[in-house]
Amino acid sequence: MVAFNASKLNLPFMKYRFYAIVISLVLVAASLGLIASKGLNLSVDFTGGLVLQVEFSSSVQVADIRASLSKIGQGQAVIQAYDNNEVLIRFQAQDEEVRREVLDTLKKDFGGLKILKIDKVGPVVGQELRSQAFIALALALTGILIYMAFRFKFRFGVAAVFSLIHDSVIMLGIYSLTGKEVSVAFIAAILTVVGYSLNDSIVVLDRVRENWPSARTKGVIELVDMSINQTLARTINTSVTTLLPVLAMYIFGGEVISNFAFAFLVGIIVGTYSSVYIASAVVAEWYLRYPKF
Amino acid sequence: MVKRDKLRLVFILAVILIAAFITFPIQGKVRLGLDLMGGVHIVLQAKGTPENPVTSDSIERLLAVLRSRIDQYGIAEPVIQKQGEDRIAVDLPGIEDPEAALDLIGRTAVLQFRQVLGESPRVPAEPIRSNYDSDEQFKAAKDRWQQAKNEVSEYVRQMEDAVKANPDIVVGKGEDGAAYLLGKAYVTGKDLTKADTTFDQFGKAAVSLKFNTEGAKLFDEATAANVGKQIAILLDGVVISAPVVQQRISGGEAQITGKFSTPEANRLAIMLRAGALPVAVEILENRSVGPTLGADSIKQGIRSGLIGAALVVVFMLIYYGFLGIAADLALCVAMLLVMASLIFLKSTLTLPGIGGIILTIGMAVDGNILIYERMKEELKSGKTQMAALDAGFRKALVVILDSNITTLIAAAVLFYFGSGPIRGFAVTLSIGVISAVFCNVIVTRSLLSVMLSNRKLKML
Repeated sequence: MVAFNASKLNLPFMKYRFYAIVISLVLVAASLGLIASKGLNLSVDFTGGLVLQVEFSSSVQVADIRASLSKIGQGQAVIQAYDNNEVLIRFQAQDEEVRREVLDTLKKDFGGLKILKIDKVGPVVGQELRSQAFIALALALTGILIYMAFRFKFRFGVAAVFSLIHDSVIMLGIYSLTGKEVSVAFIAAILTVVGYSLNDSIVVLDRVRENWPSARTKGVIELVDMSINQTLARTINTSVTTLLPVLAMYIFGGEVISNFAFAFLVGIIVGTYSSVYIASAVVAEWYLRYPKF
Repeated sequence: MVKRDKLRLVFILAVILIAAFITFPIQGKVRLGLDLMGGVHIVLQAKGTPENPVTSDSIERLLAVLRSRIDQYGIAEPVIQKQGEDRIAVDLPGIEDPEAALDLIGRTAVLQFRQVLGESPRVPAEPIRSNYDSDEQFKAAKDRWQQAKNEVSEYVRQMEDAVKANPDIVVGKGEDGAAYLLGKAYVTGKDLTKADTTFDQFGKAAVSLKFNTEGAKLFDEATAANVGKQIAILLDGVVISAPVVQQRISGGEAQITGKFSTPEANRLAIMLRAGALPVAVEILENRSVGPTLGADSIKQGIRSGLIGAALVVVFMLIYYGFLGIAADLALCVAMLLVMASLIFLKSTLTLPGIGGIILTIGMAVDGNILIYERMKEELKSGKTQMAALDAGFRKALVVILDSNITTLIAAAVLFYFGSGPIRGFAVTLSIGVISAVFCNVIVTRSLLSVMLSNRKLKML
């Protein structure tokens, strides 16, 4: 069996906690900077607008489509070709006339055309979806904080939520960096990752709680290290088993699922790191500075 | 084997059997979302004007118009529902041409009163096998029905020939299945000011109409010319009623009487008002997916799910060996339970929902990993296999519950705030998490008890 024996492992994680905290702070700062400067590529869900996904009967060039759309004053649309004949066109305007005009023009200029997908979101709905997403994120975090506070010591709960915020900000940063689209599905992915990556934090913190009676004799740092090492095999294995299907989704799932899976992919990796390092480092540091047993 | 284990095994087998019974054969049992089967999801905003503000009655009228149009269009299982105060959500599954559906729904209602020149017989209801004693009788009934249907078609063809000869007349289909040959239009919806359900002295429901001055004049002419004949009332080109004119009506106030039940009269009144005071709509949101895209998504979803599951199964076998078999079996049961719950709860499977199921494949074995790692520790501290199994399950249970409850919290928030596809995700995620916990805690445990009762087996 290719298992490594968890209990014999004794990696001094906490020795490097300052590096980890610095790296995380840099990543979080960079993410916030990116979000502020470059912004997020918000999908029509949030901005309002129109996305048409059409399949032409023969292969077409993006430039030709743009030329055709320019005639009706829609030359500034974002046109994205994938596969041979399939094209995604995104418009800021979303009134019915635009849709009709665009489809008529395309039909006239390129002949056969099949509508694969229409996504039209009015500005009012976009605004609503945006505020709903914020409320949902806030509610989920609050709910989890309450649960954690109820189940664990207050400091543990704060540490876990700290790592969750860390994960969410870095996920958003990576989306800003890669320019991937932030849609309603992405918000769902963030919330799920928040719920899921907490699993690992809980496993580690639960072990800290179990070992807590020896905190006075061993010291907080050693106790946390011991707990992380004891649980390392399950932290890694649970992440790997969840990553495997997510990876399959990312590679084989097709357009929409693949985008969805990317968020999980990033979230699970960041989440595993943060539950080993951030949540426990916060707990260790807190008790070192303000001992309370 | 201990008695408790036996009971547990019986319970599990019963659950599996019920789940399998619900699930198989799976074809056509899972309700698919619009993003998978193709279809149109539209949110309409009713737009009021100062003379015609948006009220609950105008939404009622709008709903009636939309229902009638969509019924005429022949869409299976449409969902038309009020959303908030002044919005209506329309789901039309399986539409080939979203453009046509949009035109159908975005139109403003038109009401006309037209002269009836001819009426075809109605097509009787199609016979149903269960109403007949034998196949022969059923076949004979079916033949009679087909013949009647052909006669009606022939009649309609003749009407259409008449229309070709005279551009002033049209053929209108009735809601009751008959076809009408219609002459000139007398009055339109703009001259109708009121339409309400009333009751005569015998308590019978009727619909009373009131026209404005212009309308009263036109209606007077119409009734004068058609005493003893029918006048058809058309909403969006469909004959919703064709009452016989009893006498000339000059005052601008008329009553439609007949064998109405109160709901039927209410419906007719609402349709009349819908045409009299049409409510304009704006399409707030439109998400349409063609059928090919949906089918592709399902294929890709199944493929990536199978690949993901295979990877997880292999990983568990390599890493945990003998214990991995139990985990893999439990995973299969968990997936079966997910499908059975989806079908049993009549939940809609959406594209993100497929993502949720695939995600739970990975999460389902997490519980096993927690238990197994704990068991290894217990075994090292000198316990016997059975004692380690017991302690491992007991101690891991708390963590398993803790970690899954947080996922459920997130899923609950998503379910509450999400719409359509995201809701589907929240549902599959929740079902998946619950099934996974059941399988971790109960199925794996029994499997291991049974396996370990054979002392020759070593789990580590």
